[in-house]
Amino acid sequence: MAEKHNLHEMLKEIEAEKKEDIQSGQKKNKKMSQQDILKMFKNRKKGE
Amino acid sequence: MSNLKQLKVIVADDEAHIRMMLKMALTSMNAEVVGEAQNGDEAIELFKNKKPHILLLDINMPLKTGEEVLAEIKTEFPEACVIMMTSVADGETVEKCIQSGATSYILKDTPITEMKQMIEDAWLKHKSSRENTDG
Repeated sequence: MAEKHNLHEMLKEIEAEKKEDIQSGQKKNKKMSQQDILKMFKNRKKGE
Repeated sequence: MSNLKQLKVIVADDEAHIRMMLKMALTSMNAEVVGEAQNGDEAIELFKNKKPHILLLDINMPLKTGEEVLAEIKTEFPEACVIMMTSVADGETVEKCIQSGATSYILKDTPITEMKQMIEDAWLKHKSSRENTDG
């Protein structure tokens, strides 16, 4: 029974990790606007 | 406004009509287009031979991508002014180009008047940062 419970927990964790990966991938691949890109450049150069 | 007088520029893009459009825009800004490359290898070779003030660089090109060209040129010529000119707008690519030292990043669907202003702004920013570095 305990084994079954652990397996269930493990599956839940894997699902959560998968969801996180998908979300971070979507964020990375999100199409950016020209304004966002210029902002990113400006912030990065300031931080240098 | 929009004056790049006496500046040498190289345009690297595998699409002839884009090169033509950029050439016309640059000429109208009084810049001199000293070379056109249609792939990554040509871009690097032309850059080394012509030593332009500005390189306008596409990302999706044959032989070498713009990202690879940028990294190679900035390693050998850290003071190079490289402006990415592309349709690729995902955050990861933009981030990589910033890290590799691109001066600016312009999307191809930007209206031509704004595009010209952005090129000029990028050059002025690059120039002033170089002057500050030189002391």
